[in-house]
Amino acid sequence: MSIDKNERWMNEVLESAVNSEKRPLPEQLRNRLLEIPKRVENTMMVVPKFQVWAFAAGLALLIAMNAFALQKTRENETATVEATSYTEYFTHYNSI
Amino acid sequence: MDQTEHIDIERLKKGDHHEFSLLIDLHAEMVYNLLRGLLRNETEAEDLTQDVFTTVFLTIHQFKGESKLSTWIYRIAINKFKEHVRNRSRKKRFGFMFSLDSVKAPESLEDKTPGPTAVLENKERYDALHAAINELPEKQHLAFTLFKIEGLSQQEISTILNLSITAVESLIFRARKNLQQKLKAYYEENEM
Repeated sequence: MSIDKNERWMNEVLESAVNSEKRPLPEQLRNRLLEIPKRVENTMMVVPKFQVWAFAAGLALLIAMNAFALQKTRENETATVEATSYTEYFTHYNSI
Repeated sequence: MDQTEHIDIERLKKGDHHEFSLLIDLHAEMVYNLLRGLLRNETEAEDLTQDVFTTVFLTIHQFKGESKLSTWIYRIAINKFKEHVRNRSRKKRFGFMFSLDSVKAPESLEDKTPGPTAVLENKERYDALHAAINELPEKQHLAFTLFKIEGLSQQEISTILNLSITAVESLIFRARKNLQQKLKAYYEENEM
């Protein structure tokens, strides 16, 4: 068997397949596709954009407050430790 | 003139329903036939076509006009197909059965071919060829289908698959060689 013959046969089958395989879009699928904008808009209307943004803003505020509180706590802890060490270092003066 | 020029992209980006229905009429058949060819399953092709156009509607604002609209839609369709195949093989691994019945020749082939012997002969050839195409590695499968069946240029295929033109040429060449090898036995058997 020659490669050329095989190639020609493959092309013939492909051509017949290509021509016969193309089908018009089924009507019910076309209708389903035309419904897409309405369906998407309805889904978006279920949760209004304002609510989504309000929720996101609330969440961001909560995270920011937590971060701020954590930072303040750390600062206080460091200050307390420093103050304690300072006091302890000079305790021998108390007896004098 | 490219039919896409009839579509007002800016209005489409604003969610205009009329422009979207125009888009459906111009491109849905192409996507549907591409997915039917790739998936060999009617229901899956229909569902995925719907999925593709939902994505098109939701992401049309990202279309910059650097390529043809049809190329951009093809790209979405190919990505959806890849995702679908990955999900299908994942499901398969978890024990779902993929029916072999879904791999069959389209009915229209039978409609157009005269005589029962010719029908069977064509169906058999068609099935053999498609089975061989489906066995190709994914990139070769896609490049060959887009080139040979969809009739796209290598330039368009390179944009859709995000590859260089040389890589696309090489994929098509390797796909041809692989198909020749795969079909050798079938061809010899039927030539006698």
